[in-house]
Amino acid sequence: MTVLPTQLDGGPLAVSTRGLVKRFGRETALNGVGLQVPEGAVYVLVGPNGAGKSTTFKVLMDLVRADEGTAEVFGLDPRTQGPAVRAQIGYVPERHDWGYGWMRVGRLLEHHARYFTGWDLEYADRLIHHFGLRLEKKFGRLSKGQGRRVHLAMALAHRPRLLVLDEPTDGLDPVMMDETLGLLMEHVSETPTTVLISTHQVHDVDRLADHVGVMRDGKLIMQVRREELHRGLRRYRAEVPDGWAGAPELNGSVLRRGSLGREIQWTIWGDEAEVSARLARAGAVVRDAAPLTLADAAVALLSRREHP
Amino acid sequence: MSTAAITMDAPASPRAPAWGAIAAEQVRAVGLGLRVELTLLALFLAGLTVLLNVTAYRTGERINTDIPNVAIPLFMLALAAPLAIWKGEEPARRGYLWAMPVPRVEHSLAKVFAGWVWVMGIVVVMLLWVLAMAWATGGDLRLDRSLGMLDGMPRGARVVAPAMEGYPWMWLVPFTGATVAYLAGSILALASNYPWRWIAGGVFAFMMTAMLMEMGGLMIEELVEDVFRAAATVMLGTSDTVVSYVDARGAPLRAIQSAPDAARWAVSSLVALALALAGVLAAARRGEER
Repeated sequence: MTVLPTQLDGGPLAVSTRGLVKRFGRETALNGVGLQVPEGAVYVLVGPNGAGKSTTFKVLMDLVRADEGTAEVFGLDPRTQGPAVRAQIGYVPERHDWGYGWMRVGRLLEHHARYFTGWDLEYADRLIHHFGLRLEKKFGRLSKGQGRRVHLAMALAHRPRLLVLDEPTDGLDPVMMDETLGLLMEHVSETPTTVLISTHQVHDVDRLADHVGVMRDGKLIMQVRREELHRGLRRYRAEVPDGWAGAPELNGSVLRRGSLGREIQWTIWGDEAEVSARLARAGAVVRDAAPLTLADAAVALLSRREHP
Repeated sequence: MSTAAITMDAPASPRAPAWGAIAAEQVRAVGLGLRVELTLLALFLAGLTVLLNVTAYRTGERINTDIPNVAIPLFMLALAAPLAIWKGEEPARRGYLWAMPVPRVEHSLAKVFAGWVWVMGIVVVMLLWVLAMAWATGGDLRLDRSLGMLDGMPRGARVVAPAMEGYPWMWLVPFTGATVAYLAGSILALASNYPWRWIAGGVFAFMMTAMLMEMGGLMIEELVEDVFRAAATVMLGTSDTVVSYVDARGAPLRAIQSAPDAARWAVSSLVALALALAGVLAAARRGEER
């Protein structure tokens, strides 16, 4: 079975966790998560609902304590150095009611600003304008998408070193989502920031990601640089003879299989030349080895069975 | 901010906000959060003002500024206040407060402090209101005049000892009593996701205890009475005291009556405050960085 990469090489890490385990009663939410987010990266953590993404983020914010393992943010332990860690994080949580529902939006932003000494007033005004925030409205009466925009303004306006965004586009309409992602790209280019985004809507953040992690059932099954993913994960289109017996050499390496008549479409992780050679040795004629979009890659990785 | 002004240098770790600034912000935020409750209280007082003044005008009845009239409602109000102050921020939902870049124990205590400032403000307003009511109806304006209103004194009797008036410390009782009640309520709000259940449980426990007392459990009765006496001293500044008085014909009499007792009030209040503060500190340690 192919071993998918779960370690990143070299470079200082903004976020590093080792062997994180978290259980809620009989449920294991995190099962040995070793997240590595390089400084300056835009790291997209992909996974279905319940994969453990939000719990991992909460561990970084010390909103949840892991039963086992360690976590570091810029070399600091969130458990013991929580205030210093949180001062460097712009956090958008999964919850939409995070904040005081009885406060007006303007007052909530003002309240938030008092806690972050790096709050950039001019930038905050720009964000308010960009997101079209209605400052006089009660925060609790906002729609899901409007609330999300307030959360994003709160996270970005103090220009933190690390943005931890848990499903940041959830509730946004397509136009606002597009504009928000554009703004996020602008923010990253203007401010030295590391971004850690979780999503189960991968295509939303395709254009942002330079690192990808894939979580399923509380485990990080892969983490890799975007270009490495592009290079290593390919969909092979090949013609096979009648009664083809398959490619025993590739057993365990195929993440996804599809076929149409004599043509097979297999998604395989590995060096392209080596995989093509193995397919050829098995009698297949490789027509094409195309890289996958991030969304397709995520689907392939997440639909992979443990014992194919 | 112009894009050109932004550099790509790694930013330094941001400064932590000062505790004073956070406490001041919490005072403002808690005030905003209590707007509905404070408005309702103001409306209730306005209605009560009209009702009492109309009644006083019709019947000639006077309103005096005696301690039980003031202290007991304030005690109850202060006990319930933390539930309004921490609404929507039960421990399981304290994500926003805990996500701020300040130590969590200090942050929780800053919020408790902010609430206390508002509760003390309410005590001041209520005392001024009671004084205004007494003044408007021609009642007694001295909060420290308590012995003249002892229950069960025979007609025509007058107190010989202790002195009938001159207890200026009694003005502190509503403040200390409300503080103790507020801190006790804060323990529930800080520690429990279901503070109302604890209050309901407390009432249930009280009723069960009363039932057991009826059934003749002497030890429980004594214990409960001691607790009640201590609570009454904290809340009202009074304790059971031997009162000497003379009846209408001048014959000396003695009785045990509830009367102002500075020493017992001071000790009971200090003990209650210390216990309540310790409880608040212990409850605030939930979520502490360690």
